[in-house]
Amino acid sequence: MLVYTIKRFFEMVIVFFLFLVISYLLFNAIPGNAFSSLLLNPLLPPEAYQKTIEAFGLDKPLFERVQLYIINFFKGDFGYSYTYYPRTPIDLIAERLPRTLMLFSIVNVVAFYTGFLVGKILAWRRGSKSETWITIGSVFSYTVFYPWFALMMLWFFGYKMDWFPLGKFLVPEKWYDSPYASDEIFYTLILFTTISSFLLFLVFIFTRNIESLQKRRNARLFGLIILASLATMYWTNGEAALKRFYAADIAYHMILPTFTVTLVAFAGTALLTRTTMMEVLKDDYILTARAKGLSQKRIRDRHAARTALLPVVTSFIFTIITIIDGSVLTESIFSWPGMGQLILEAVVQEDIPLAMATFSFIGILALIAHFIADISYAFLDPRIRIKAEN
Amino acid sequence: MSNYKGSARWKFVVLFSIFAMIVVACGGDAVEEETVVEEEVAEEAAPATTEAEVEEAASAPEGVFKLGIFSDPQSFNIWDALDVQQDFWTYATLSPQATSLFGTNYPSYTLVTALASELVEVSEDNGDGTFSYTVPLHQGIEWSDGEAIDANDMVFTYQTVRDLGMLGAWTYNYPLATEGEDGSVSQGLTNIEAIDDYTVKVTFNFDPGLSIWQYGVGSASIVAEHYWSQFTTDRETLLAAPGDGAPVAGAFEYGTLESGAFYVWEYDEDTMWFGGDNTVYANGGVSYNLDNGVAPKISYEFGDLSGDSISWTDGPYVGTVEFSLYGDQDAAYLAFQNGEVDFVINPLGLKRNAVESLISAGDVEVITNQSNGYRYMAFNTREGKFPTDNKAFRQAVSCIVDKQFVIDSVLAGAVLNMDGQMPPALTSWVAPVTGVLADCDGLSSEERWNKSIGILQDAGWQADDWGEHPGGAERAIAPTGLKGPNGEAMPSDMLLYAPGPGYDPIRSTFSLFAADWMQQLGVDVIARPTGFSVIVDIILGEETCDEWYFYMLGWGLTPYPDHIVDFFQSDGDACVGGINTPGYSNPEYDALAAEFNAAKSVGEAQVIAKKMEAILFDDLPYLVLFTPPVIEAYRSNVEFPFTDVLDGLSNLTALPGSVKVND
Repeated sequence: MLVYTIKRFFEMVIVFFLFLVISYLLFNAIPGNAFSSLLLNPLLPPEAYQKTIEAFGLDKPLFERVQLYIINFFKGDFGYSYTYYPRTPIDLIAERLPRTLMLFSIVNVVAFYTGFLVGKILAWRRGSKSETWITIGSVFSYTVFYPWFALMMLWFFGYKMDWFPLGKFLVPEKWYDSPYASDEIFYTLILFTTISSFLLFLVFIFTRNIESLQKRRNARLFGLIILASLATMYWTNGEAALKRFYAADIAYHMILPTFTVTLVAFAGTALLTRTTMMEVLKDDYILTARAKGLSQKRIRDRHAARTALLPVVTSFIFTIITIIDGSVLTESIFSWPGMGQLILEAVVQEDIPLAMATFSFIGILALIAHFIADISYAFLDPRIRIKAEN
Repeated sequence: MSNYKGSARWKFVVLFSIFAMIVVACGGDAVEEETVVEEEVAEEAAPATTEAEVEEAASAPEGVFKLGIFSDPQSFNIWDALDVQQDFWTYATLSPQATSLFGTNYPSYTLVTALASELVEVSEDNGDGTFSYTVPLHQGIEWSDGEAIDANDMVFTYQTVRDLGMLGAWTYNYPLATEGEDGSVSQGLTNIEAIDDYTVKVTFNFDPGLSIWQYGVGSASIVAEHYWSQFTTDRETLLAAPGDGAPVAGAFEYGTLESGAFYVWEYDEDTMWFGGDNTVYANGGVSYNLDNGVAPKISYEFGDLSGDSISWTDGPYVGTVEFSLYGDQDAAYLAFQNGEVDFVINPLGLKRNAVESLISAGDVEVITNQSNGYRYMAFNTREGKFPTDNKAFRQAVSCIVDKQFVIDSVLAGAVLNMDGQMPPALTSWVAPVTGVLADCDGLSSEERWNKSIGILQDAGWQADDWGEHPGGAERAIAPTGLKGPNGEAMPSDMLLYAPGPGYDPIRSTFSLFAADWMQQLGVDVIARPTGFSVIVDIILGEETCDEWYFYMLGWGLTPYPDHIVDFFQSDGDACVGGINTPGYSNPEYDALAAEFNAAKSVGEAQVIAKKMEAILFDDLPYLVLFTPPVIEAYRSNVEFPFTDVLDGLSNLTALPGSVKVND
């Protein structure tokens, strides 16, 4: 196992190195550069452009620049953003990341949970009318042209019904005199959501072995009420009480994008869960459980669904990356200025240091996710481990 | 059984709901207490306010002017904004951190004084090859923090640009005389010194004209020395310095800046920048009078004060200007439709198909202005680049390309035809159209074809068969075996580079028609949709600047139309680093360009520009195609002092200093 892990780790390092070099070369292959527009400014003397590209090192040969970039990268020096000079890419990522993290972590969890729940029901009610309709609905949302769908959602719920704001993450007037920057509120929200989720997880873990369904439900409800009370205490006391107003504004703005992305994203998980669970339901141990006289709900939730969860969780691990890179489309349509928009801007404006930093950040996380998945697979399935070691 | 268990569950619910309510109740009190404390502090502070301040505060404008933007500004620091970034959105949201000696009046585009108390247009010959302008400044004008704006601020700005090697717009704001590798010194600025606190002397190593003096150094940004001097240790420190605390030379200062969301300008209650009376005349004349009791009295008149006029008094009439950021244009206009913003800043204007839906939303006014720019087709005129180096060929192509047909019949009038280099709105600059463009205007397609063939034949071109035009709307039977006057064979597979339909459907359409018309003249050319950056790389690349025949692009122009020099002066050939992309070279034109550069007054420059235009109408290095209109919309409760202005209101940041937002 150790040999396999070390081997995978070195493979990961090589892949990352190749990723860095290829990404850098590809960005440089885009015609022009971040300062090409200077060439088209009739007021600018010709030498000004030359001085500019010299100042940013763009006059050096490509090979030298790649070499320099890789060395500096591993020293932790990501250079300066061309467009936001003299701000560094890390500074810009730190500003945008909390916004994306907040929105897309919730979107992913909600979409995953909804998808899993729907998939479970679909498999269980195979052949029923509800299965047909829900499957059709899921396939529609899985295949719908997302930009159109998101704009329609925005137009209908935001403009026509006026239930939700038309994008952005805040109402400016409410923030004119805010003592807090929005990122501070985002950090508070992230902290709050993380702790709440962890406590909720604990509640479910500690109550999972209660045999009686009714007792388990009561215990969970009790836990939920405790959590709700703690949450209320948190938001009504101390500094959080002052932040509550601003946090509520952000939370309100999150509803429509979360709902929209969930509607599209849950379908993948639902269809995967349905397929996997239908296979599981054919297994002998399900028949045994039925023969033992267990309730249908228990067989579905505790026997079939748990087994079906494995491939679904694996697919979820890979979607976690979207928590970091966000979604260019979602962020553009809902005017949510996160990592997705930053990446788009960096690429369009050929801001190579910024684009490279954001891509590297995502690349590292993607590789780590794959690494964890691979190790888990090897751990769970000795065949993979043995094959790899041989 | 289940009933019993259900009851137990509800007991839990009730019990903990009560618990939660108690917690909430306790927590709620704490917040209220804190709020009360804050209010008390505010009340205690109030008596310290003087009566005068209270009066002033009471007269401060209220209301919010909400503007939608769809790209994040990259900086709030003027040094950074004018350096290499050159970003429209950064300029649009930048607080007025600088002033200048002279300025441009809008909507007339007339040169007027700003910090200078007179428009100094004549230089003194120092007798040592240098020439100086000595400019007196208004006394008593202050930055927002109460410090006087004086000659030292300009000296400081110049020295900082020089010593820290500032780039971007600073290089043409302060065009320094620099020594080349061969020891030669370029023409430029050699010194700026303060004769006294309110007189500045600007010295050049040559005698500059309008573009370098009045519209160059005279219009250059001058920043507050007392604030920025603390950051001038090096360029990087200066560019990273906080701009939100910088004093301003205007009525608004930065308020809350929430990156990625919104940016606010707030009215400075101690400002002296308000209440000027403006009158702008149809013939470009401007009259201004400032007598608000706080700022020094300023009064001037420039240009021809005849004809119809519009008048208004500067505000501000709003206390807050909010720039709200949206992810893209669609999101911004949806917010506009919903009443979230009063105006969307959009330098390219609204798409035509969006106008109807905006109007249908109600309470919306739509305005259309000409843009200060044009789209064109360029010919590579460099010697040896047959056939585009041949004047008769360019004339023949320019004649057969029926711009008006494309605009009227294909584009349904979406753009405005343009022939010359000057935007039609700058009436006093516009030269009468002459040459083939005038001769071919209004001709049918058959007549155009015949005329074009005639031009080629008259110039000695040869063909195996000259073809014929069947008449009406039919395509002509193209000449075959077309050869140049000296028997040069026509190259095959020539490309007309133009932006693709995704980038600009209008130019893309134009390119298809232009290529087809050229084919009817027997020229083997096809339109090639090409990425904007790719075209720019080809035409400006050192190694590729000569590797093309035709391309279509566009230019945005500056308030002073000296592009007529930059685009066609032979010194500025793109192959040697300039922007004369056609490689046009005409000694007569170069001589006029030199005269234009040396012109001391706008009237003088206009006369020369018209002579230059006449040459261009004959030589046709560019076939100017059209100017796109700038369509903008604003909510009906908004009142602008004027809406008829070249390039639209977006390019004036929607006039926050004089706009009125009614309830």
